[in-house]
Amino acid sequence: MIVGIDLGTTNSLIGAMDAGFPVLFADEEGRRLTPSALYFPEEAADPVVGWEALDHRDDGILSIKRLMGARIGEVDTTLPVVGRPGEPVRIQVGSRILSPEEISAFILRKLKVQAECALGGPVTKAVITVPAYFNDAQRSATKRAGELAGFEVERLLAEPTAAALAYGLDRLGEKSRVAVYDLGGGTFDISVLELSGGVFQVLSTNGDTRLGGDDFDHAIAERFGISPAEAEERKRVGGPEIEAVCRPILERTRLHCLRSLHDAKVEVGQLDEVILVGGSTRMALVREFVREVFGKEPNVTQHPDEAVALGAAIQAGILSGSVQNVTLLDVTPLSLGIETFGGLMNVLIPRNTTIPCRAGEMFANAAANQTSMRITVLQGEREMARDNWKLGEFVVSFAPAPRGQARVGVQFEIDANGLLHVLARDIASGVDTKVAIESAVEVSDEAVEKMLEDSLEHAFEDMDERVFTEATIKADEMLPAVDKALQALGDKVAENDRNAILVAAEAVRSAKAEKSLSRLKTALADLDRLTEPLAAQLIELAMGS
Amino acid sequence: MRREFLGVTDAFSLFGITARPIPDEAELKERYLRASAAAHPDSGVGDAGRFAELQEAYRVLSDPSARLRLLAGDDALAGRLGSPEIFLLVGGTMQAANAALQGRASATSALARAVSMAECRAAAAKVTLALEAIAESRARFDTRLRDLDARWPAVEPGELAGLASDYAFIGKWESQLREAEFKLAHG
Repeated sequence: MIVGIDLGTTNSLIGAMDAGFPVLFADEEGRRLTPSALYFPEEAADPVVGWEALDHRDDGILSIKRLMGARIGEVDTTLPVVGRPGEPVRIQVGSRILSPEEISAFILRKLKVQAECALGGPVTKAVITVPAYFNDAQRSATKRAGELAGFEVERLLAEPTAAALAYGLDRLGEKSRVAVYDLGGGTFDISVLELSGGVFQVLSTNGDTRLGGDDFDHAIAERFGISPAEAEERKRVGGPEIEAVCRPILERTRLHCLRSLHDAKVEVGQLDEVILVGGSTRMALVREFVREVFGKEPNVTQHPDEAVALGAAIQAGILSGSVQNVTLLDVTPLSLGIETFGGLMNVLIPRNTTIPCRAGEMFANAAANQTSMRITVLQGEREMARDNWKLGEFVVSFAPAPRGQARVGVQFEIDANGLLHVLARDIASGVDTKVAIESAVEVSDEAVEKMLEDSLEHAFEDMDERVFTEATIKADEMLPAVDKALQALGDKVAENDRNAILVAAEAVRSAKAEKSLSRLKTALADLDRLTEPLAAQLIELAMGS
Repeated sequence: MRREFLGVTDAFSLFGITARPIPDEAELKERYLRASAAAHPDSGVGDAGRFAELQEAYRVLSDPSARLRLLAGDDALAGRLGSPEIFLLVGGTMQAANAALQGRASATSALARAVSMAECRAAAAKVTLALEAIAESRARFDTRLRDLDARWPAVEPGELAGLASDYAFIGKWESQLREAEFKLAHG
């Protein structure tokens, strides 16, 4: 028996296949949903998990999923984080310091007990869902959380893919193309899939692992000066004021949707269904937004909170053999690559490659008798290595040889869980070795500390210089823009206005030449104010053409 | 590297279809899905190595350039550089698109944003024109491809390799232009 678990930001669920159908296990009160909330009473070893912990939300732990696999500085949280920037997040809980995966393990343990009560026997194997857009560290942390809770983690399954399974299980004979829009408490995913004769093929996936209902709550709380719990209540009631606050956050999902369609080479009109899952898709505003982006009525047949867990149960059934003739072909959400000369990222496995997948790369010694080479592994879509997420580093060892003669082939494999494995083969000896990847933190520890010290030390002397540099950059941007704008608008700009603008532009030029920070700032502000009408006119002109 | 495990016949025979310039697309896809499902690690008797091989083979067979190169074999040297007019058109267009995108990314004032918006729109219009030119080329190449398929197997390796490199060039340009089109339209 393998169980399926949805380890959510707000709520978690557990289920399994029963006589060909996925079912979810309820607690002793008959509730299938367990809040992903914890409260650690002073002296007790184990925390209170779930509904009871919600009574202590002010000093309890909520939304721990947001911190899974995160490094300090990557994500905002109100929880007491311990450690230095760049280190893996740890939380101070009473006298203990716990990692997000240790905290998540308490939630998983509670679910495990719930399943064992329902099944009347021990449960040791599980499929756990993760946001499709989770990177390697976030996935690894989830797997560790499962192991800490006493599970063998048989598979990490992407949440939108799980939802598609739940949707498609009774439509195995059909062929269709669907998008799954999954907006949960803390994460957003969009996936485009093709369903054909029991094969669920993910064509593309995109998302934001730190965007969800929590963000609506925080924005509402801030706007109206109320607590997050009260904000949640206001959100449920809705209304134009609430929508005005939530709309900009929701807008952030648009580009991900368009990107996913673009990558899948699918036009909006070619989609048969846009399936909504995740608690936040209950909001009327979200449904309206999806209708607008995809130009069709969203499919709300799936239970927003339960579909992902049901899908996890189905995948558990596939792995244990109780569900047959169903296959998932999932993809890796992020491009995988290594850093090369000039700080560029060299992509080895592009995003949306079907997993499991492999890619090989050959490394040769750059100097005679060079013994090793350090390789930086990256995930992300940006051109410059530094703009991507640094997965970690590993070292390739060379046997002594003339330059270019020692060669090591390195194989990168992303398994069906979306986790990276690296294998190195010495070409001369033909010996394969599994390569351990050091997390980026372990290797850059000292460097990070030094950087911090340096930046504090020089913070004050740098300040004026930095402000001047910023102002100069702005001047360099404004001056040509002014020329272009005046040229494009021609006699649409009144003589007086034009002269005033030219005078202000000249003032910026001279202040910049004289390196006078105060004059430059004043002159830039003047120029900004005087050219504001031009910006509006230019946009009008561009829209009209 | 790829050649090491995929010979001319292998990619086609992996899916049990006949090697030719235009394979039956629907049948290829159907067989690809069946074979992938069977080789997937979840199937119980799966094999990650074979699964990866199937993915690579399908990628090669789905791409006209890679497919023709496979049919041409290793000996056929292509050495063609694509159409120079399109090359210049694409180069100029990509330059304008990148400049416009750069301008938009670095704009901090309302005026600079307005200027960059006008530039983005102008660049987007250029991209559309370049994509139209690419589509025309593709249509001509497709005609040649159908001709090769009709004469198959009575074709020279050089013809296959030549068309393969023609497709490769417009394929590369097209994906660059499509990416620029997306970024210009949606930021």
